[in-house]
Amino acid sequence: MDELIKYALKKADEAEVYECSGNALLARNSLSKIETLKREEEWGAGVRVVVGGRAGYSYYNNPAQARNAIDAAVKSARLSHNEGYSLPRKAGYERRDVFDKRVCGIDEEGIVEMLLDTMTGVRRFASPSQGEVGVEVVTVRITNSNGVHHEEQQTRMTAYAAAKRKDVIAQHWEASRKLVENVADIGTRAGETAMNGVGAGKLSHTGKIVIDPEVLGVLIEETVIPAINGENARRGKSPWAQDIGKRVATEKLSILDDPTIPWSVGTTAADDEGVPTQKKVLVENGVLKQFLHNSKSANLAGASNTGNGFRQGFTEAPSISSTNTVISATEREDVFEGRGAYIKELMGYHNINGVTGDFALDVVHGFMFKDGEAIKPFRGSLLVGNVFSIIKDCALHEKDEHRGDFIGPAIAFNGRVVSK
Amino acid sequence: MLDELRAALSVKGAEFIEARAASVWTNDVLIRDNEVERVKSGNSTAYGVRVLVKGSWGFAAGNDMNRMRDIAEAAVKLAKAGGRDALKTELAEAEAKQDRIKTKVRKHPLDVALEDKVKALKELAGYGRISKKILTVDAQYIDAYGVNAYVNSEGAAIQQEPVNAFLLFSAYSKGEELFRANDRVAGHYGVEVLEGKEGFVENVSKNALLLLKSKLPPKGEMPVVIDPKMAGVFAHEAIGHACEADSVINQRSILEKKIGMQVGSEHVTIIDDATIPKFFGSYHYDAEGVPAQKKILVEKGVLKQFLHNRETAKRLGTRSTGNARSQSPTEFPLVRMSNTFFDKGDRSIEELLEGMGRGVFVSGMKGGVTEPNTGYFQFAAEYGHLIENGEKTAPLRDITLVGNIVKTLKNVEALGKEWSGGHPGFCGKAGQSVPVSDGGPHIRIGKVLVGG
Repeated sequence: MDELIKYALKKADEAEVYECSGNALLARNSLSKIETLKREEEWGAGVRVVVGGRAGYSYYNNPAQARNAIDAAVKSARLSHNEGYSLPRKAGYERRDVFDKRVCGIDEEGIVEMLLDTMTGVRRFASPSQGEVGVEVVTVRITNSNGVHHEEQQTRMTAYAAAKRKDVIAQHWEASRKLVENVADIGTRAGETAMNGVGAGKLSHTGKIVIDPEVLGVLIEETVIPAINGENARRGKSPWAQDIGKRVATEKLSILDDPTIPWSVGTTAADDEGVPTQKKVLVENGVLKQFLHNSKSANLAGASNTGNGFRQGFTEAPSISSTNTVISATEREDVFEGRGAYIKELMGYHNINGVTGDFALDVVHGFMFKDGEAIKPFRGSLLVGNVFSIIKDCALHEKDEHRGDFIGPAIAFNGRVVSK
Repeated sequence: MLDELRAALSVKGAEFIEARAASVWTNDVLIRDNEVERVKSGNSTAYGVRVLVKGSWGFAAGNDMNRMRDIAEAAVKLAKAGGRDALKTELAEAEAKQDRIKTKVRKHPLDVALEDKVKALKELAGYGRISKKILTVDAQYIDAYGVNAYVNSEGAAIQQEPVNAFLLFSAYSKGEELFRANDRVAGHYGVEVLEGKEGFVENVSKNALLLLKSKLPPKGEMPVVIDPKMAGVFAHEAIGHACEADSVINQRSILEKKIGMQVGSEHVTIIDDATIPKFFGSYHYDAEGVPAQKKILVEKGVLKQFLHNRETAKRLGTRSTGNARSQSPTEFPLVRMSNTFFDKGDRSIEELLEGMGRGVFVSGMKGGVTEPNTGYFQFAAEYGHLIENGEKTAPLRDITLVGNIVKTLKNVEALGKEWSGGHPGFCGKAGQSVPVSDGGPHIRIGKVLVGG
């Protein structure tokens, strides 16, 4: 790789090579049969060069194309706007819990067995509709001409089960950088939700609403994460663009971007630009403190780089992404006290207006509850609200859940569910 | 490429073997405001081998062509691992085609210098800055070309050289709130996709300005007129997905056991046609080497057929309709749509609006979801207008249409005589997205629940 950087420096001021190699194994069922068994190996590289403050990009996955990719990146840089850009500098890295050798050890027979286990779990309460177990090992290597050199080997496992009982389909999933040991439980939880959803009617309700941590995670991802994106803020596309130091949420609530959480899927020691990642408080006790940046947006905004430059694969240029999102609370309560409507699953999340925060989403699984007990299921209703308003006035549950790259509690607020 | 793929066919122990590969070159230019934000060019190659061993599928993929034989062996090993718990598959018969096809475009991306593409896009973006209220504009041009190939153990050998180009344009307007309007053109074009698009770009910015004056829609059940873009979404999301035979077989389609039955009003004819020249969802051969076809899914309200690959065709006792598609050769082919649309009717827009009283005119498409197993749908429009006494009046935003597809198709009252199609998009299913298009005329629906 050093040789390629040397070649690039004959034509460019700075150069970076991002290499990603991976090996993945996946098993998927449809109804009660295994439908797909797949193995994939991949290697690819993304190239970035800087010529006179201008960045240029290319990619390749055939090593014979390496020098052509450098030439293409140089040509791209010459056609681009001069942003006074410079690649990240040499840095030191902390070691993070991202590699579990047990995940590498799973072979064809092992993954089949785990998929069958999820189906066994489903059958306790329902029948299997669909399911998937996947494992992957990825090595990411970033080298640049400013002395950055970082390599990290990461593992990841996902398990998903969808269960069907009568006309109700429910799902449950987990994703982690370490082995997910309780795959049968994932099936069981999907089956249980499907069973409990049978006989659900429509509901109109104004008053206490509790949303599941997974629902909260997606609502935050669709609205708050774009709002704290430094590039969106700089371009005036974030509703919080002018709100640093202002209250944007209830003082009970803080929002963190935390790439240090052991085994969480968003955990990594460095971003895809080779910048060390760090835990950051974005909203502290309701007050907006900072935005997320990569090297490009930090340079343009005159802000410090928060280590959030990630690529969606080797063919893509780095953009700004969150790592693990954490909702933390200074004051918690049992949100299931009293009477209310609990929202377990919604669908159609892309119908959320990411700029205004407005949404009207279909409830797939909901339950009316009284003092912690589910009274009756409902669906076929819309949850109507605004994410930015909800986080200004909500109560946070005693317990957190960790789902994929999100950690947070169920939250309660005054809202409405309308029957369709 | 065909010869490299044939190495996979020599693997032992499988009753059926197929291998696919693609090598794609792309150029990607992004203009933001007045500046060239990013230019990116590159190449990637990938392939996949799929085998049947005693009726079980095994699939393996890679990008090092020298490992073709190893990847084929990995596929056989996977197929064996499924054992007695695997679905047993047989394939419907298909002719083993041998063909070479080269897409012809007016300006091949290789014949135009990258700097000329950048210059043309930058000039085009300028036409979007029609007002000080347009905060910012984004324009993106992507071209993709290369070669793909398919071989199987039955003797099929097909090599194609596709060319695609995309133009995407977004405008943000700012008043008290921030609004975004966007549109795109994509299909089997070369650099000519950038020509004559000044009006297209201006129109997106006009829509962004229209949203500044817009109000929230009235809520409740009412008559609506949907434009060709929203009509296309209905055809694709609501009928198309429910016609995918894998969903039917897996008990996830409301249209299961409904062939020959009335699923819409007599005005409704819906077609999936993969053969329309230039359209984004078109192809010559599908991912199993079966020729692309035109299929009438619903004719005068009656469900006629489903979409098939060779596997689903065998299960339901019919022939493949050439709808096996995958995002890339590294993904398992699934039953997918191509260009899906409503056939046109015979009314003018004035005739559609006549006598409507109060309703909503729905334009553009922002997103949609359907539950193929219940027929439930929820579609969000980009913008719209109130209809009062048969006339379009105040502009509206955040319009959502909600309902059950079969009930809604039965409420289709009339269709416009002007048809617009080839609206490009990427359709997602099981984590894979493939290029598709949709279309139709303006359509009047007697009763739909409007939310927002």
